[in-house]
Amino acid sequence: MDDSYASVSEMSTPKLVATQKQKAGNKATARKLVYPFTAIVGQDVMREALMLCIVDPGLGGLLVTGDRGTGKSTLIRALAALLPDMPTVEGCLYACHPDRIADDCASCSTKTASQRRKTHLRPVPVVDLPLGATEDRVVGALDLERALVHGEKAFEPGLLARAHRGFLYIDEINLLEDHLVDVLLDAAASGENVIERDGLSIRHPSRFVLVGSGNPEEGELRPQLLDRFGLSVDVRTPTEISTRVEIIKRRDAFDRDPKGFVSQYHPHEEALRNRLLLAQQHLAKLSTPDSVLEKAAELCVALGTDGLRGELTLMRAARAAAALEGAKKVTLSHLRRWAIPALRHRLRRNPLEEAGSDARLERTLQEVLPE
Amino acid sequence: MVQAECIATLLASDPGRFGGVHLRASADALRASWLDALKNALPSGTPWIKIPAGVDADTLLGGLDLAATLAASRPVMRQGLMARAHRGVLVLAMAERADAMILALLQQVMDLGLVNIERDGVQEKIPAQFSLVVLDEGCEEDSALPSALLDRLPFYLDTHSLARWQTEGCPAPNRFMLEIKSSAPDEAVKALCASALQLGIYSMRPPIQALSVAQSLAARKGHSHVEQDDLIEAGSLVYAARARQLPPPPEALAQEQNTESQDHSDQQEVPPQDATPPQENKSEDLPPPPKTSLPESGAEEREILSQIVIGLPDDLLARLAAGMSLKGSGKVATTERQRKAIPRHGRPVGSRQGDPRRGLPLDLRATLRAAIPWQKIRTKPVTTCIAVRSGDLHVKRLKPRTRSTAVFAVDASGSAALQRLSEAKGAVEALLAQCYIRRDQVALVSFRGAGAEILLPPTRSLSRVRRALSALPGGGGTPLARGMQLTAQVAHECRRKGDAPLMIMLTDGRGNVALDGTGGRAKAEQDTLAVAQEIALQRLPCLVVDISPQPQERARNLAHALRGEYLALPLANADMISSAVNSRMANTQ
Repeated sequence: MDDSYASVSEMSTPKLVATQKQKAGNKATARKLVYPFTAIVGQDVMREALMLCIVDPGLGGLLVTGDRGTGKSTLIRALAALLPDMPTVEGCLYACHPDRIADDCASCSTKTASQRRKTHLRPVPVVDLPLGATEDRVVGALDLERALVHGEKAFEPGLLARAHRGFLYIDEINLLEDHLVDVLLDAAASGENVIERDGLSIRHPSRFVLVGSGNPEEGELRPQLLDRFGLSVDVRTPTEISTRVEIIKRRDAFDRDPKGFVSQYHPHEEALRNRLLLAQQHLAKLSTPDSVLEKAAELCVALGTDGLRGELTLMRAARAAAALEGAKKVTLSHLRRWAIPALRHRLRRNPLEEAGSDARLERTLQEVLPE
Repeated sequence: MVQAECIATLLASDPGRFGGVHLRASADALRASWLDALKNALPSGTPWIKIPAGVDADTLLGGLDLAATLAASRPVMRQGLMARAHRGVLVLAMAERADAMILALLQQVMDLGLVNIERDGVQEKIPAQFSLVVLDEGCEEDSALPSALLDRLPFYLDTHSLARWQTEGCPAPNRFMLEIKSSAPDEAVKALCASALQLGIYSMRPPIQALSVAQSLAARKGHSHVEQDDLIEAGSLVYAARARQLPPPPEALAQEQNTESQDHSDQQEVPPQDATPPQENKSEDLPPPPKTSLPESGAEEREILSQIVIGLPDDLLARLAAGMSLKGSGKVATTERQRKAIPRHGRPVGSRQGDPRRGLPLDLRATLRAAIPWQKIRTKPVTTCIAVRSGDLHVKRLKPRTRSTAVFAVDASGSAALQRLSEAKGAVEALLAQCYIRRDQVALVSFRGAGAEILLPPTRSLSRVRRALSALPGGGGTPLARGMQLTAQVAHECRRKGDAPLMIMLTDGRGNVALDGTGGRAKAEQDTLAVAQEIALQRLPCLVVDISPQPQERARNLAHALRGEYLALPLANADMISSAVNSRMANTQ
C-alpha cells in the first residue's frame, strides 16, 4: 500500500511524503523502543493477570479500571515486545497457524498443501483500537485503493483480522461507540468475523484476547460487556514513596536512552518469555482436584453470580496461575488469589452497598475459603 | 521570573515536549497578549494550530480527502489538526464546551505521540507530539474539564498569574533551544515524589512532569545536575494548581523527624475524600501505610515543600486551610450517562453506517461520501448518476437533548426560615437568569409545620417564579421526611419526562415532624433516614446545602444517606448557592 501513496496531486504531496517516511520509520523501530514489560514497577495484579491471559488465551481477556497515570497503557503496549514470535502460514492474510489452519480462513482455502506448509514467523499482534475508528476499518471492507486505481473488488482485512492470535487493546473502552462494541463482542464470542457488505461475503478467523481499560467515572459499561471480560482488575496509584521514586527514575532513564534501557532489560524479558512458554506447555498436564472445583462452585453460589461464566473463568484463571508457577495441580490458594479478579465484575450491584462489591467479595471469600 | 513567562519559555524551548498548559481566563486582551508572547517565542516555522469550536473527530484525526482522492483516482489522506501540530502548539479554544469524545481523542494522541487512524478505508500512523494549550473560559469555581485531561497538562495559568505577568511589563519569554537534559540525582526525584504526596497529589504524572521541567530549567541555567532551585521552581509550576491538601507545617515536620524514629503513619494527613484513592481498596500486595517523610535528606525536601507552599495562590491556600474539598472536577455526568436505547431524536452527533428504514434520519452527505469512491467498480458504462448501494447508507447518530431541572427543597421552618427562604428565592432567580441558554428549569418545594408543598412546579419562566415566591410563609416544625419525599416525587416526574433532575436540599438536616404529621424527633429521624434510602435507590442526583451558621454533622449524614453531595455554606448567599448548583447542573447533562 505504501508505494501507491507516492504520487498525488501537488497540493498534498509534501505532507504525504512526510507521512510515508514516518511510516517506514515506525516499522523499523516500533518493536525496539517500547518500554519493557519487566521494567514496570508495581501493578503486580495487573501484570500477572496479563500473564495469565498469555498462558491461557481462552481466559476471556482483561478489563483494567482505576486511577489515572498508573501505567495501564504502558503495561499493555509492552506486551508486543515481550511475546515470542508466532509461526504462521506464509502469505496468509489472517496469520493462520501452520498446524491449525482455521476452517473459515478465506486465505488458506485457496492454497495448495505445499503452500500451506511454508511457515513464516511473525510478531504476536498487539492491536490498538483507536478512538474514532470507523466500523469499516474494524471489521474490514473493500480495498479502497484497488477499487479506485484498478476498479477491482478486493477485501482489505480490518483490525479484527490483524488482532487474530494476538491482543486487541481498547483504551477508554467506555467511550467506544455502541455499534462498535456490538461488533467486537460478536467477534470475541464466536472467534470469527463475518462480513456481508459491498457485495462481499467473507468470513475469517478472529480469535483475540480483548484487553480494555477505562475509568468507570467517565461512564459505566454495559453489564453484557463487563461479563465478556474474563478478569477485571482495579489499579491504584502506588503510595509507597520508594515505589514512586523508582517508577520515575526508570521512566527518566528510558526517556534519555531508550535503546540502552531496553537492552538492560533484555535478559529479564527473555526469562519471562521462557517462563510463559513453559507455562503454556504445562497447562495441559495440570490436574484439577474435585475439591477445588467444588469450592469454586460454592463461592459462586454464595455470591450469586449470574450464569456460569464466572465459575469457568475462575477455574481457568486458577489453572493458568498454577501453570505459571509450575505446580502439579491447582490448589485452593490459586483459587483464592484469582477469585476477586474473576468475579468482581459479575456481581449484581447493590446501590446501598457502601464500599462497592469488592468488600462483599472479600467477606464471602473469607467465609468460603478461609486462609 | 514570573510563572507565566517561565511557562511560555519552557513551552517554546521544545514545542511538543511538555504536554501543555491549562489556561483559565476569559477571552480578553491579557490572555491574547500571553498567547502572542508564546507564539513569538516559538522557533520560526513551529506549527500553531487552533482547534475550532465544535470540531468533529474527522477534522481532528484526519482521514480520507474525498475531493483530492477523486481528482487523483487514488486514496489521498487529509491530515488532521493533531498531526499538523506535530512539534508545535495545538490550541483548544472554549475547552469547557468541548465534547467528551474530542477531549478523549486528544488524550489518547498525547499519550502515544502519534495519531492512529483507522477510518474510512484508510489506516495510518502519523507522529503528533504537540503542546496543548487548553483555553478554559468556564466561570465556575471548579473546572468542568475532565481530570484525565488536566492530569496530562503540566502547567496551569489563571487570570491572577497573567495579571502578575502584566504588572511586570509582559517580559518576553526567553528563547532557547534545549539540546540536552540535565541529569537528576536520586534525592531530587525523591524530593519531587515526596512533596507531591504531601500536597495530596496522587497521580504519577505530575512528579514525572515536574522532573522533566526541573531538568529543562537546569539545562537552561547551564547546570549539569538538577539543583535545589530548579526543583523548587518546577514544583511550584507543576504542583501549585493541583495541591489538594496542605502539608503539615514545616516546624512540626522537623520536630517529628528529630524526636521520633519509628512510626510516621500518623502524620499522613487524611486528604479530602474525593481526591484520595480509597486506602482500604489498595491492592493486597501494596505495603501498608505510606510514609511520606524521608528520614534522610529531609531538610532539602522540607525546604522545597515550604517554597512550593509559599508560592501557592492565596485563595487556594485559604480553601485548603478551610479543609474545603476542591472538587476533582471531571465527574462528568456519571449519573445520566447510562446507556439507553438508541435515541430517535435530539441533536446529530455524527453518523454511522445503517439503514434509515429503521427509524433514524438518513445522513445524505455521509452516504454520498461513502458511495463516491466506489463508482469506478459499480457503474459499468460510465453514467452521470452516482450509484448508491445499501452498504453506503449512513444514518445520523443522535444525542437526546436533556434539560436539567433543579428541584429546590427549602426548609421553611423555625427561626432561620426567613433568611433561608429569601436566599433560596434569590438563588432560583439567579439560576434562571444564568442558565436560560441551556433551557434548564427550576422547581421549588418548601416544607414547614405539618407538611410540604410544591411552591413552584418545574418552570423556566422568571416572572412566574417572582409571582410564586413573592409571599412565602415561614416558621413551625420541620417535616424533613415529607419534604424530601415530595421533592423526590417532583424530581422523579422530571426524569420520566426525559429531563435530568438535580435535587438541592437547603436544610440543616434536623427534622422533628414524622411522615404522619406527628411531632417527635426520634420518629422523625427514623422516617428521614428511610426516605433518604428510598431516594438513594432511585439514584436521583442530590446536593445537600447546609446553610446553618455552624455546619451540622446531621446534614452531612443526610447527604451520605442520599448518596448525594454535601456542601457546607455557612454564610451562604443567593449567588454562592446558584453558582454551586449551576456547575452541578451543567454536569448532569
